[in-house]
Amino acid sequence: MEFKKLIKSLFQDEQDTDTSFVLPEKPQDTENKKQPEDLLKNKNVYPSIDVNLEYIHSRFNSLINSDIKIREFLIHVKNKQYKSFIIYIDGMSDNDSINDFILKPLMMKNTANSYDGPQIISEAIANNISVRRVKKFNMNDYILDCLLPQNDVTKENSFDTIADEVVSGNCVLFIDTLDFAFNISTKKFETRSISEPKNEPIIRGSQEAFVENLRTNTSMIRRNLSNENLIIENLTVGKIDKNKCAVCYLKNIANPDLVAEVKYRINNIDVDYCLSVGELEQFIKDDITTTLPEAVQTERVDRATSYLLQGRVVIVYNGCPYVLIVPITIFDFLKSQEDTNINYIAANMLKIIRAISFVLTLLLPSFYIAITTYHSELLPTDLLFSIVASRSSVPFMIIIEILIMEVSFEIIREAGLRAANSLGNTVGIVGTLILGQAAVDASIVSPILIIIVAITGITSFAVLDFSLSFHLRIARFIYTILGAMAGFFGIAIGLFIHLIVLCSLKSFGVPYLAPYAPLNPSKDNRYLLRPAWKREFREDYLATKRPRTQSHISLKWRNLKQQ
Amino acid sequence: MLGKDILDVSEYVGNKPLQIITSIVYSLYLIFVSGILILNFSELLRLIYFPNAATPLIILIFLLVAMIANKLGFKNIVKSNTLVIFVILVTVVVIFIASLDKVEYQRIFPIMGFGVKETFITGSLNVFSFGGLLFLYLIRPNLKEQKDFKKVGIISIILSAIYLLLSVTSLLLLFPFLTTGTETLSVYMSTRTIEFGKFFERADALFILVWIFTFLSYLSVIISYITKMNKKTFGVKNSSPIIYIVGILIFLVSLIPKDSSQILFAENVIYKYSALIIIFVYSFLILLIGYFKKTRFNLKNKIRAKRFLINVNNQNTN
Repeated sequence: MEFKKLIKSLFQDEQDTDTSFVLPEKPQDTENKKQPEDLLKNKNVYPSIDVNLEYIHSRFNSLINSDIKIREFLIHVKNKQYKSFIIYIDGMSDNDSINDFILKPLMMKNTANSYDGPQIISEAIANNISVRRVKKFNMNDYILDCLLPQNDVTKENSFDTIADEVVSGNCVLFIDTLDFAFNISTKKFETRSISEPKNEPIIRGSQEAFVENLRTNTSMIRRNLSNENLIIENLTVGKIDKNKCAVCYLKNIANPDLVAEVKYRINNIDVDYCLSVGELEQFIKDDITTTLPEAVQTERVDRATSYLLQGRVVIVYNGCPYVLIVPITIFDFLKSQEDTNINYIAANMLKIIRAISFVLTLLLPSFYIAITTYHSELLPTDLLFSIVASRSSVPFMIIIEILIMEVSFEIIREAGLRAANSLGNTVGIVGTLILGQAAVDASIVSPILIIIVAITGITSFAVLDFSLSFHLRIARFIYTILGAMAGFFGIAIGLFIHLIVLCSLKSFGVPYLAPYAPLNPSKDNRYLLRPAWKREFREDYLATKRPRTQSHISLKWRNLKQQ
Repeated sequence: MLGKDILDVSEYVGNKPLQIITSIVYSLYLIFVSGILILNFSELLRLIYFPNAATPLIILIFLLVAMIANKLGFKNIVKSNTLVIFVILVTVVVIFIASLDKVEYQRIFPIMGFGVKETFITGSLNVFSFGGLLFLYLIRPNLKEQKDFKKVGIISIILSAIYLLLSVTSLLLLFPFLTTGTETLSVYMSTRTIEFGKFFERADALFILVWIFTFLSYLSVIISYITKMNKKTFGVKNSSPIIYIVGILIFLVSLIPKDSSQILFAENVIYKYSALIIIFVYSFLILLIGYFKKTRFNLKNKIRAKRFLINVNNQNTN
């Protein structure tokens, strides 16, 4: 027997005995099939409480869902009792509010639910016969007016809406004989408290950052921008995860066509889910093939507010501490909220430094390789000799050397970013200092290249936008290869195609290189800032309803003093 | 003739056949010019930086980039040109200023050069340098505001004049005479004399970078205008095939000259005289005939209108 087992085990196909769990390698069907749950959709509330209860149990899978709470009870209305139940999600609703202001008034016998109220509408007496018109009793009005001491109660008869409200934290009350339910606002869940911006720090100015909760974020915007024309419209994205997003704009400033376009795009996203603004941006951007961002993502409340005041649209997304700002130009990525808080000359100096950083981070490695390989006459002879001498012990071609360093730098950056905070610094130190020094000592790379890559890395941090830095990193690799292949000729070719691509981009109808391509030489359109008292107009390319931001003479107190 | 280009005027003057002829003449001229220029420029690049590369390969790369640019759209080429033009302007001004310490002002003499006849009569043929004015004949339908046409014309002539003046001045004052080479090579020679202190003693490669950029822009514009003209004349909807055909034709033209003497002949004789004939004679003639035809037509209409009014008045009085 043992021999037989041995032979069998030797020749038996392994897969036959493999009992581990596997999923089919290829999906059976590429299209979504109708699920049994879909049959439950598009239904309305039934007058029978038992049917409603059964439906709710089935729709919310309450037998297996631990946090779905369904509480059945009897309510007292004018000394009559009705079967009813409430449904809410534990952890998303305020238990105290449900106990004190829903269950208590409805269940306990008290003056409210036994009070008849003035029932006689009119009375006429003729021949000692009094004729009274008695008010017909309407239970739903009575419950709404007398028994639910809540500020936000609506009637809903669609189970789809009811399901959306329950998952968003509301409590829904079903009562026998009524063909609708009461949707009572009882949202209360733990959220992160408002903190300082982590990725967009500034020295002066507000230190408030957005959090994950939509309503907290909109309230922060509302608090920063005190104007009744600020419109915050709620929209839903996703079919399965119906996440809420708020489109914010100033009605008296923003271009109505722009607002309509933003809403149109968000309303026409046919996806099951969209979890963050980053994902949302990819769904609503004009050119879906480019790696360039077409919306600014910010965690700063003051930045979002300042863009709203310029006439742009801010999209707040539930569950994400960043908001989207549209439309934008490439120059918006080089702006910091600090710029407007400091003197315009200092701000312009910073802006020029950022622009130089932008160019350096994009082109420095490619220029290095192009100059050392093809255009060495550009360098002074002494410098050229020192470069050649430093490279003499390096066994690789310059392109290989650069790619090794660039890829290593990207790995260190990624590792430092993804590692836990305490480890991140260690990764950076080990990666940059120890490995860099070791690489030079081992003659794997030349010291001059370390300088080039370090400068490129540092300048990339001066480009403020995270999404744009991705594009720059990808483009840098392409330019480096072009520079290695054909020197300045290759770089010029890359730059030309890059420029044309940039010219072809639009963000919600605004050219990406506006106001420089197409050229619109108005004074307030420029990249560099004018003094605060001279910033008279909003950007032309936004086509706002209110082009002027301040009067021609904004410092009226000066004139008044002189008079 | 608001919003009409030379092709529309040709159609007005001589119906469809003349429009087709104009379109073909213009296309051939532009293909020839760009073919010769690309050959010349690529040859220069090969000589300076890529001695081991084949010139047709460089030409092909230029054309591929220009075709890609055209695929991305005419509007984007125009937009990119608004940025490129400043880069060129800055470059030319920098060349001019940087070479100032090397110039010898005595070289401007004799101002009249080789005499009045040579300067003003024979030299008048050098007006072909303004061959870029050809685009003014074609640009009109692309303008948003038709009233801007005059402004566009004046600005483009002024810009061309500034570029030519600065380039020629720096060349004239830098070198006693230009023994060899073409215009492009001459400007390259002037950039070789530029030094920025002791650190940058040879900055010519940077200017080459700008020129490559400029040349790509020029080539893209030429291909897009040839495409536009043929699309309009022959009623083609999809421009992609024309872009590819034009690219291939320019490539083929650039392969025709066998040596530098043929390139020089093509540039100094064929290009010069064809520019003069097509831009300053043929096009002027079409415009003049069109103008007279239009005036005559207007006059006839006026007379007809007057007669009609007189008849109406007579009928009323009767």
